[in-house]
Amino acid sequence: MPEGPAAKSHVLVVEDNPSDVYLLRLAFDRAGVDCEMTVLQDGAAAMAYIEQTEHDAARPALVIVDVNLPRRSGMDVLTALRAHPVFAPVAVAILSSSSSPRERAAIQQHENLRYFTKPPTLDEFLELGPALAKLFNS
Amino acid sequence: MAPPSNTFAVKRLLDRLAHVRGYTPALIALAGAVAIHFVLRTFGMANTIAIYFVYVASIIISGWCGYGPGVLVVVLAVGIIPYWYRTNYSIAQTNPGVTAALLVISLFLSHASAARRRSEEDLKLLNEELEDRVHQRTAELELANKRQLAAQTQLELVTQTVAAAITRCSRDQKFIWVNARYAEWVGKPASEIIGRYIVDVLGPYRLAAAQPYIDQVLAGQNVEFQAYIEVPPLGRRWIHATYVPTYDDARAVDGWVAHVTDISAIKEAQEELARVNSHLRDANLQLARTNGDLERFAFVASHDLQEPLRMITTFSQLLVRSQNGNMGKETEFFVNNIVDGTRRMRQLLADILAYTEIDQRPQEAASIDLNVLLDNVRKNLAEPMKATNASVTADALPRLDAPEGYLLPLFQNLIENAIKYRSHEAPRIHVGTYTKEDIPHFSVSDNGIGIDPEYHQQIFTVFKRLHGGQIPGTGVGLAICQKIVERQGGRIWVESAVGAGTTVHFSLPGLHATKGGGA
Repeated sequence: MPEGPAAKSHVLVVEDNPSDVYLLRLAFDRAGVDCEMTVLQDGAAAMAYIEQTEHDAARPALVIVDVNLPRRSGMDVLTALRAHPVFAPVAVAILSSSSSPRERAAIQQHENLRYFTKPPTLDEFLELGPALAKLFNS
Repeated sequence: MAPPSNTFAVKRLLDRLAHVRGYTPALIALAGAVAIHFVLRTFGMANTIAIYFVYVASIIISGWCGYGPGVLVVVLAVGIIPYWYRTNYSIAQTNPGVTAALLVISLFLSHASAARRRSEEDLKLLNEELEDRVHQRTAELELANKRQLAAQTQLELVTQTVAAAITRCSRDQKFIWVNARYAEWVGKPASEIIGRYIVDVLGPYRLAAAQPYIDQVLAGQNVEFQAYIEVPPLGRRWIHATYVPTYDDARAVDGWVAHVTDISAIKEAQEELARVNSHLRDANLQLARTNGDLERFAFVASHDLQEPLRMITTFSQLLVRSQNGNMGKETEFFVNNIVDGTRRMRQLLADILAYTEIDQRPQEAASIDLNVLLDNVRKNLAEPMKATNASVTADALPRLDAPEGYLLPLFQNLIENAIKYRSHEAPRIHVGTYTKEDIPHFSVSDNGIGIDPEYHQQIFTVFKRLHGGQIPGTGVGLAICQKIVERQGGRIWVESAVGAGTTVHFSLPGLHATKGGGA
């Protein structure tokens, strides 16, 4: 796809906490990553969105999924993503507020996926910007 | 008084004469007879008649004095006495017929008298023996009587003082005998009970309650039962009763003996015990539920509280950052305090989470080389070790079949503590191992500030800290260690004194140890 440096990348964010959405925007801004974010605030809405997407043009550069979501869990969303022709090749970043080893082990079995614990300090959170940008589909 | 005494004396004299036997009296008697013979001759009796007197006397003497003296006397009378008054007398002149007859008669008489005497003596002996036996038997009877009396007294004492009510009843359901306690329990004197029908003494209601058991015992069975009955002087009591049948000579049941004891105290104790046990069970169940709830709560709370904390920290920092240094030193100081507080709180929540997770973590055991595990601990603690110039040495450690999730925090917490509570010297920490009673034991020793023995117990309690702000910590580390050790059935304890360093010992009896790989 002909994408110049000025072209905006599309990032799909499934996150119910507006503060974290704000911080993600901030992290991308500080990292100089110009992206457009589609935010879905619960698991069910995310799954509906995935189902309705038909064209490859709507394929995002990255999907960021929180584990703890209202209505449907991040794991359900992840399964739906992997099963969908448009989203299957897209890299996924899982954001979790806990670092339970069990949860981590279960999630890390997927390919093309990174697991992040939501960082407890501002500086660490801002470091997420460049780290997430590296995952963008080129 | 005189005449009976005289008769007795005469009888005694005769009795004694009858016993005088032997040669001397025989010869004296013969001499007497010969003397009488001479007197008779002197008074003109024909010699031939007088001599017969001697013959008769000799026969009587021989019957009296026995064989030997009898023969001697007869021979003397026939053969010798005639010399005194006959001239030219020779033994050939003796009338052999008379002599033989005399001898035969004399022998017969002495034999008869001897036989009589013998039978008399036998009779006398028999009498004496009989008398002895009578004496002996009487004595025996007296002794038996005495014994029986003693036994009866003893039985009476026992039955009257025993703590049980005892009665004997007849087949027609009358009281034959009761002990004092039975009378006391019935509430009537024994004289008003014995000989009466049970129904008249106890009333139809109480008899009806016992009737099934009475029927059984009269059918020849031993009966045992417990009942809650009215005992007039005591009120309602739990009793234990035993009925045993009694038999007549024809082996037919002719009644029974009842033995009744008051078991109210035992019953009450049993009921109390059951009540207490039931309460205890309930309390345990409640406690288990509460503990479970508490752990779940602690897990959820510590997990979910992390989120708002993260927000407070991040946005406080964002607040400072967004003002680009225009905020003033004081405001910045405030925000830094907020951030610092939330950092401590985050650590606390993480530790609580770790503590509650011990019970929720899967327990898959793997063979773990503790030497390797210790290397991982050294890596994890590299930063504080470098900062304090600490060294961690160890014995050759074994392999343990255990979940790694348990052993790593156990050793790491203890070594971390040893670094944290160091003295002015660089921390020198040693991990030791030994086997006691086949159970693997470990020790972590340091040269730190030590712990006052007064606190050796409470340091294992969650959130219990001996040092305030000067040494950072949450007071959960040792509680985690204790929980891990106790989950393996082990024990953890401290040997320490202020200024003398600390050694923490723990045993892991649930875990099988093999020689370490050393790799």
